Amino acid sequence: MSKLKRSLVLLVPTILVAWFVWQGAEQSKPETAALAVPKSAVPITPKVVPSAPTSILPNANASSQATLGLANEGVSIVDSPLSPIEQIRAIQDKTDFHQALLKDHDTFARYPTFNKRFEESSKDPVLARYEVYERATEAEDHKSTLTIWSDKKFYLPNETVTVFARMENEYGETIKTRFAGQVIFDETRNLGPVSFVASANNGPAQGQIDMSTGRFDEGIYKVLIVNQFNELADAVTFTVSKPMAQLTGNFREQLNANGDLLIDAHVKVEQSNRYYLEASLYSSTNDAIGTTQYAAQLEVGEHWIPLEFYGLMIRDAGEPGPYLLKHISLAKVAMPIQRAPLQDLEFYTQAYTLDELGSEPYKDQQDRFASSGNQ
Amino acid sequence: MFKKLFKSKPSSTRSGFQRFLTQSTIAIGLAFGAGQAMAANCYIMVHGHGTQGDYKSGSNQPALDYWSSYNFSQYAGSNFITELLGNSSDNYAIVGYDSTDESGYPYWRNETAGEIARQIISIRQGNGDGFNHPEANTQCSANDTFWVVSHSQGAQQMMYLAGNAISGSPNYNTAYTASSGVSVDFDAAVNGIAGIFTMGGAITGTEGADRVCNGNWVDYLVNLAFLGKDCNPSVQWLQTNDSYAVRNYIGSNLAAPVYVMGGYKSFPGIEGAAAAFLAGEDDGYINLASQMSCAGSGKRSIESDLNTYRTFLGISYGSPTFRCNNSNKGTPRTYNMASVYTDHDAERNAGINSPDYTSIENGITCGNGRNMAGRIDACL
Repeated sequence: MSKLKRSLVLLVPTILVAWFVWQGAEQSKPETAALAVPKSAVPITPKVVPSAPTSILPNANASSQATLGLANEGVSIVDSPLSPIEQIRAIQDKTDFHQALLKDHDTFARYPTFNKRFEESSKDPVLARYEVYERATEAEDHKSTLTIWSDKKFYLPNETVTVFARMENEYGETIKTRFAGQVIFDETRNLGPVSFVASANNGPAQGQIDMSTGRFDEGIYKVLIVNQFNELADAVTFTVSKPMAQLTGNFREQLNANGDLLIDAHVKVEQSNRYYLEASLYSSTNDAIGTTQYAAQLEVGEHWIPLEFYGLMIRDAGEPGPYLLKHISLAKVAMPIQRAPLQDLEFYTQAYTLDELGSEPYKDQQDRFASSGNQ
Repeated sequence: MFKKLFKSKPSSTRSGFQRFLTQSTIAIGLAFGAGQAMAANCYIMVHGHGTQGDYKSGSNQPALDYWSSYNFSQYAGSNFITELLGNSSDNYAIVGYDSTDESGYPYWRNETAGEIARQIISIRQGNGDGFNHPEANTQCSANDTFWVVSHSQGAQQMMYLAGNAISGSPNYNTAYTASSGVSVDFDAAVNGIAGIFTMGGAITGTEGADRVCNGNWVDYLVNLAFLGKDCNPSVQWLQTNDSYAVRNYIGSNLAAPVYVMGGYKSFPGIEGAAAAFLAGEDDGYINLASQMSCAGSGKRSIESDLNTYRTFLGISYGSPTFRCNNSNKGTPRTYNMASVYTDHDAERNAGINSPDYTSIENGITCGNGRNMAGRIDACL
């Protein structure tokens, strides 16, 4: 056979195979073409397409690598769909949005989804759950501002709520005026007035609600505040919580075979319910590392709750142990959520070295487990 | 590029014609096979408050019409979806849920969050959205790349879903009825969504809801247009008080990234006066700080550059005292996209064609000069 004939023998079946593959792809899609075509003017009804879920982030189908060595070119020809992230990576002229999306994905896939890295103690997500924010309302003429806040966001039923109010002029100077408040439960039930006491110096006026003197059900309370100086009004809200569970202060710890830190927190549960725990980990020098979360249905009794911190997340902070489990938030899952007071139980782990901690990005680990049939 | 793809024999043993045939083979294979690698985009549209989105009959499709409806006549004829699709072969799907005041469902209800999740799952399976699209060939297929585009309360809804689609979240796969939690597969709905866009999102509420509930709202017309007449539970849970904020009901991570776009133009005409009662910049109805999911108070005052400054008689001066950049968000995995001179109505109907914008820290610049729909189109 001549060289030309041999080449044709190679060329023709290749074209035929490619054609059949393309035809198969077209038949599996609804009315849209594989390549962009102008839309017709005739409206259509949707077709029911056989269920074929797209491979999902972040556990994308990583097996879709080219047989023709195209991976290095950033384009893959595959016999299964590329994941959205892989398709975006393959785009030659990425927009800055594409780049931002890829950066987010790489960050997201680095640790398990229940872990979140943070690098400044001021950005501790567990603390943020309890952080109180001042509410400022400026008059239309910008010459006065009403600022109000409460001392906490979550209270136990027998605690005392303290509400603050301040009126300032455009220079930031306190305007002396009287404040009055009304306590409302669940936006529907008026519970009575709150009296405000002016500060002896130029501090904010304070009003108090002593919940030990009455029956305060769990839920959201509002204190609507008005003043004598002008028509500005605003409201603070707070939640009365009955978490029905508490941390005992007992912990146990270990490093697992993958080099992840496992800290079990001991809790006592008084009511069967779903509970949510969130905890933040620091180095012994008080550098922020990250958070973990855990939620589960817990029956009445005592439980050890697993708080897992991925080895690489700790390693990324760059400091060896001991590590400090600094803040723990426990909540009974309900509407509204019933958060227990923030626990600063300060549990220190053993002095693990960085080498003992895992070093593999989570997605890579999961891909490795999947390919080896091991979890 | 093609020359690198084939491991050729040393040139002395292969003729030029053989190399040409080989390269042509590969080129033809690429041409036929390349269509599989690049899927179309599917935009899943999640509307805001005040829409009987779960109703559709013939041409009466409130959830679809939401994206071309207008409260101000100068936006008549505008259509967000037309702008979004542009000249692409992308697709879209409408999610319709009951966000009316009459029903009064907060964002965590089965009728809102649950319904949205179920519809997203069905759309992603390639079942279509059940709406009659005026644009032919725009129903999504299961192989599309899925994005969510949400407006106003729709943003709050998506934050609840995305923040409870990860195992270990407090309300993982849970929505609520009047009496109890019910299982809804948020995980299947959100995991694998490439990204969520929010526009004019009431992520930390709106002072409009504060005023309805506290009895101090002035502009009746604007109130009726976007929010409602009374402090029913759906409005109650749109207040800026942190007790109601969706960030307190989600976990420490989101199953999909959220890209926030905010508007800072008041409504046209007399209704523009209502914005004077909102802290900082706003889109006529939602504070910009809420739209951009800034950390801190839902009433935080920020300028169009997303910074807070000291002010005197309403005039800002000095260095920023707060920056709503990507490091100062109140929700995880939330990123700045754009700050656009548009109002709450034009955000959803693309009624302002080429709005001004303000450069923001960590902003995304593709689509600069276009409205929010156009920005998504340009960036993807």
